[in-house]
Amino acid sequence: MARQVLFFITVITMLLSIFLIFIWVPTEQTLGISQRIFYVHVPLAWIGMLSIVVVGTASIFHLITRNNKWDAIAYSAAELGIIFATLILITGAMWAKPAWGVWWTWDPKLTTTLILWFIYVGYLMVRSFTNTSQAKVYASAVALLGAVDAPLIYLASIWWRSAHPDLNIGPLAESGGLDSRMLITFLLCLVSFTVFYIFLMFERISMRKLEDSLDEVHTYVSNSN
Amino acid sequence: MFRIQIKSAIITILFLTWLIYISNDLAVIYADDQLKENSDTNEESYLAYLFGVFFLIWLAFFGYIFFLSKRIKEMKTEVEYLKKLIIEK
Repeated sequence: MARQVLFFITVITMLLSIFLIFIWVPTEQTLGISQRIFYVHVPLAWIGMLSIVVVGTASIFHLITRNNKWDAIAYSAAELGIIFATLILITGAMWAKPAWGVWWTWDPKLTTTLILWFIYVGYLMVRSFTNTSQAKVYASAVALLGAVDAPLIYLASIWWRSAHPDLNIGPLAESGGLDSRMLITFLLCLVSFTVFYIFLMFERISMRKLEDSLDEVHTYVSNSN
Repeated sequence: MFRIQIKSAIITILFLTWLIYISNDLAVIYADDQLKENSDTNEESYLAYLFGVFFLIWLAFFGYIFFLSKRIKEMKTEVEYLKKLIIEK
């Protein structure tokens, strides 16, 4: 029931946010229509960073308790995280081209995001080698490294000279940075992507638990032969 | 659940197509105004990037949901296979 509610909220907010992005929100004067990529690019980035924090936190709990429930959460978050991280890089490149004239530049924010993508890849690679508890421990170490990278991405434009715009959201953002209609559209996109992420997490975690149960049955059947 | 998702996916694609269709008209009107003010701005080419972003995002999401539904089917087959094995014993 909770999943169906989440899915329903996702569909409604996604459709509404698409309408707001294409029709309602005013066009930014300097960047023009390409600035509308912002409304999906930043929520994707938020989820990408949130996901690695979820992976790191769940990994810590798994290391402490050795409960497979936490491992299922960490693995599911990593799998979703790599999808979102890939989309951050792609949408970022597609915004950089009209805004900066290049697809890619070694800007601190872009570079730290690319590192995050490699961390997700590293985590899933370690996990794909084997499903032993040792592999889970190594993967947890990789996840903790990734969790450290998340605040670096957020603070990159403050700490280093960056072509990226100043922070518009979060505790360190300047107040009044966005027009009210832009802010409403942006917040709605943020909510819709976050709800969608939670919905996907529920689906993936339950599936991961099923996969683990199936593995156990396979092992039992093969041992009893 | 995935049947609902597929139906919703179709509705979303149709809605997005409609938006793209009407946004093109709006963009042409908008671009005409902009050209008067600034001839260097090529808004229509910027629209391609915007639509490209939306296309890729939804392609990735639907692709992932398709992967999940495929995996569920595989697991159901595995369960059936394991059931047979246990019954044979």
